[in-house]
Amino acid sequence: MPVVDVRLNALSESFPNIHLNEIIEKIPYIGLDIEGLDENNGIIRVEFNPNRPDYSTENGIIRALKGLFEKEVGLPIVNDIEESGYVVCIDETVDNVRPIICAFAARRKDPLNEHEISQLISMQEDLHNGVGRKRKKSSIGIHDLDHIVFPLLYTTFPKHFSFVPLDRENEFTIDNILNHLDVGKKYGHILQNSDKFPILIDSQKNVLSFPPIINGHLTKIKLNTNSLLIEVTSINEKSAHDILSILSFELYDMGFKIYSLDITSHSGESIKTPVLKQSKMIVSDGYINKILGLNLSNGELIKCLERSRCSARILENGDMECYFPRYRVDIFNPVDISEEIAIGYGIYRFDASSSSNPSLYFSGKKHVSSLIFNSIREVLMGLGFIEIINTNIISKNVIDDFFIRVDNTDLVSIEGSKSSEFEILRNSIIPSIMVTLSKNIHEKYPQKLFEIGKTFKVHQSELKEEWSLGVVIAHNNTNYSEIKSVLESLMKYCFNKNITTPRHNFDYYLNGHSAKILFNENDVGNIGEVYPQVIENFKLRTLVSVFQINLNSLMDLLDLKKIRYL
Amino acid sequence: MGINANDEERDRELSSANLAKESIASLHPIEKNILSILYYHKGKWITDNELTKESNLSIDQIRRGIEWLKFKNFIAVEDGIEFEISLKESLLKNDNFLLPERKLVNCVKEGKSDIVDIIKSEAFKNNSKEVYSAIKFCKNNKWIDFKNNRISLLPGIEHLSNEEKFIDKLIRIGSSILSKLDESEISSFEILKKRPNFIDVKKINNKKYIISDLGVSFFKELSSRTELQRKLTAEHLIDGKWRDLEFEQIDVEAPLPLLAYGKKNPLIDFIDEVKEILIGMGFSEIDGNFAQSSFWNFDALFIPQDHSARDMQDTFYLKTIKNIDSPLPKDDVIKNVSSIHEQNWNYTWNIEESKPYVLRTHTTPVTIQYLAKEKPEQDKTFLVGRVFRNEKASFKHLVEFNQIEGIFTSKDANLRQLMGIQTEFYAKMGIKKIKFWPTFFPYTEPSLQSMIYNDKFDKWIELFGMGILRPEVTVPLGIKNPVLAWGGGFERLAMIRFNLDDIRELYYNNLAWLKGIPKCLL
Repeated sequence: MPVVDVRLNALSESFPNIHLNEIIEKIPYIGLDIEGLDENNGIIRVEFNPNRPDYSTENGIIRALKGLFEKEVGLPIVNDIEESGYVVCIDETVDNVRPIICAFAARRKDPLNEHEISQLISMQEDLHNGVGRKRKKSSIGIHDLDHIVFPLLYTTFPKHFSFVPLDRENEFTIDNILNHLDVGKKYGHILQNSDKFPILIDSQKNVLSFPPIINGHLTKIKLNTNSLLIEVTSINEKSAHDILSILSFELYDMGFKIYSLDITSHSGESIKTPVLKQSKMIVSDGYINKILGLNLSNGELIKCLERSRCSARILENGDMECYFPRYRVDIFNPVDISEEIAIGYGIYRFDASSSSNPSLYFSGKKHVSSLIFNSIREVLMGLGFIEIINTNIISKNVIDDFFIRVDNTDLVSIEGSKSSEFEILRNSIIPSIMVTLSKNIHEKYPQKLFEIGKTFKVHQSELKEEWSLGVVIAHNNTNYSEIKSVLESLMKYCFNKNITTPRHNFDYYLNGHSAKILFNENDVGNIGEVYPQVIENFKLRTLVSVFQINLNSLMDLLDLKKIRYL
Repeated sequence: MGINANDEERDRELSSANLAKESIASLHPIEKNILSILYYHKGKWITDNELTKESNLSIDQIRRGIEWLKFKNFIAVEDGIEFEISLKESLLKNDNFLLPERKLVNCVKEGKSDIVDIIKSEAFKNNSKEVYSAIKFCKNNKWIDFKNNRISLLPGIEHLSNEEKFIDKLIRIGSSILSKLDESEISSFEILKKRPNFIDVKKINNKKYIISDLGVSFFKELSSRTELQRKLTAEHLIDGKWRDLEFEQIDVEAPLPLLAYGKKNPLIDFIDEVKEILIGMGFSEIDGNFAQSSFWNFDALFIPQDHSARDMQDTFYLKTIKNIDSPLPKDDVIKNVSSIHEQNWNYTWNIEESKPYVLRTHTTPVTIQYLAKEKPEQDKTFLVGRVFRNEKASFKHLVEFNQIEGIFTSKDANLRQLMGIQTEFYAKMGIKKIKFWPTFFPYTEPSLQSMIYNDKFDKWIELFGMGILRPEVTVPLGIKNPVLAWGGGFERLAMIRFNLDDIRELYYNNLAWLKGIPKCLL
């Protein structure tokens, strides 16, 4: 989750009458996680969830806290937006590349300070990664307004077009930027299907930006900048306006006056941005109290919403018309309003005691496979076996060490595995148990182990996932008779069933000392003394005998529906 | 007063009789063995060495037996610094060893009376020093006359000298203890010690023991009794002899080695305990596959197709030799889900993205498929099962771990009830201090996370996440009523339960660790 640094003195200044500890204590109750408190630098590090991009700055967080502490309630509003008269024209060539652009201008007397610049940059980064979907959906350019000569043109250029990109002294062609600069290599794939590249230029043909890759150097913001142009380009109109609204509120909270721009499409239509009109939603009467389990009056409901920086009015039919800021991109269903009310009410005020536990009666029971597995466990425990657990994802080497002389191709593997330890899903439970034995060579023998786990394989172009039981005995005198007597005991004591074990040779068992396990004539597993080469592969210095049973097959054959009490 | 004194005396007698009685009963074979030897040598101090030789017990057994007997005041013990006397090894190798004085006598017997001849003789091999020393000791023994360099024998030669007797004894018994020598032996030892190459003296610390008066009377008592049986045998039982036998009391307090035993894996066992709690709360267990379609793992849960959780760096996608796509649900379900995505997330939903198999990143795809299939009006289910995250394993993160998840659905299910369920569950786990914070999950709204206070670590720990399944999840699948869902990683609880610093230990299968985890946590 992304992190924002909030200055403790910004909190204290915003809430002069409230103790800092009390403010910090309330931060989690607006849906933020406190990651750390750095008292030396006077900073609290706060994590926010991706559904609340408006929390990506200190100002956004304080805006919400002001509601909870009732310092400012209801909808936040950007006052006195003035028309700048500036125009951005959209050329039709961007239609198939990155068709949307919107923008606004902002001015104030004081230049940006260092803290504000770093907040803006970190906000830009968070918005790019979150709602901007790593710049694919939307990306943001922030420019020094004083270096721009309007009108602007949002158009495309071929790859040999060149300009001076941000923080460079020389011109680069688009081709060079994409192939040689880090940002080009990282984000170039977003434009890969095009031979024309989006460029925003001003009337002097100076490049403002090459979205979503990099800005031009000319309009870079500096410590003395006090006039800004903010533009968002996108492949999705809603996303572009969402992001622009978040930025408008942020700059307004920084003390900037906001100026709208005219965005003119190639068909001649023109809109003014930013679009900051509040959103609204109708929530039916009684819904909120029902879903939250509260019993609030309409007045209380509205008050709670206002504490969450929204507002509402009750319609004649009793329904509630709710209003919320344009930047609240996470609200699109009445349940989202219910959460705003829950937060405005205060999660800590809910009666969370056991008496809220629903009294509706249910009789709980275990899944039938859990019952069977526990019965198997109990019998094996009685026979002196210790249960182990291993991971499903293992190294292919472990499979190859056990299934020697076998071309292990029906395996299910992990796409793009990063480590040889996590390559494939195990197709048998025994190799993992062999690994366990090899990790415990210094422990006392005999070692008697078992595991119940899943195994995976490809069977007739289907992925098959089955429960499996592996049982292993390791000591210097173990042999086929010993392990078979465990197998027979298990089947007899657990299910009062017999199995047969017709001779069958497996590469991984000693020739003549292994068999298939048949239950009602069906193949359910195999048993044998492990072949010496396999034992050596696992670096063991003692004998090993094993059996494995496919529990899915066994459970099918046992007809578990017949399990009964009487 | 007199009466009182008699009473005291009687009391003492009684108590010592009681002690003796108890002692007989509790005499271990080792004690009996030692005590019988000391009784045989009563009045004499017996050393460790002697006891070892006579008893056939090991040194450890003797030490233990001595401790017990000392405690019962049957014996007295003294630390003894002793000197062990033995012949030099070189002497013992020589079968026909003779002292020089005896060699000299034999030489004269053979007819050599001139001292020069004697020095040259086979016996002395020109060692004049040895000859003069021999002459000195012969004279002491009154064996010879020595005049004008000639030697004549005296009748005393027929008697062994004291030194010879002492050497003979040492040859016979190997070694002797200084304090055990009689007077003449001591003077022989003193003489021989001064002469080079005959005697070795070794200082040893030899504890010694003597039977006490109480020990003597007790042993007499013991010997007069019927012989005690070491153990009850089947023969005693069958032939009825047990009626006439008395049995030794064994050491019932000595610790014994722990037995090998079979046991359930501690993590599985803990999961089972928690399952029982949930079943007690009316939840029923459901089960499902680890490999899930992207559709059920993501799309059905309203996670947009461009969401970063679906990236390969977070999720394990599966691949097989022949490409296998997961089976998808019926067309109408696909249509419902895709249109809810397109309406709300503003993008073009692509069916291909929902086909690849993934290892489930949470247990919710199992729950949601259960709900989509059963469409219960009201229900309470749970599952605990393996989930998979493509993260780097560390002391606090596993690639594979268990997630526990539960749902409650009914017509009137609400957020407050969800908190009540949590409180009830935590209370059954012994967790009393909890609090709830709002949070975000793509498929629940409102969403909360619970924090529990852990006394052991003295801090708040984030535990289960929860929320009400979004209508965008339930409505397309035909689920009518609100569904309260909660869940989280199980190993986090296991780390607290088993006191682990490294979560990977749970899957390491170290047998010593597995055996060491007790069944019950007290």
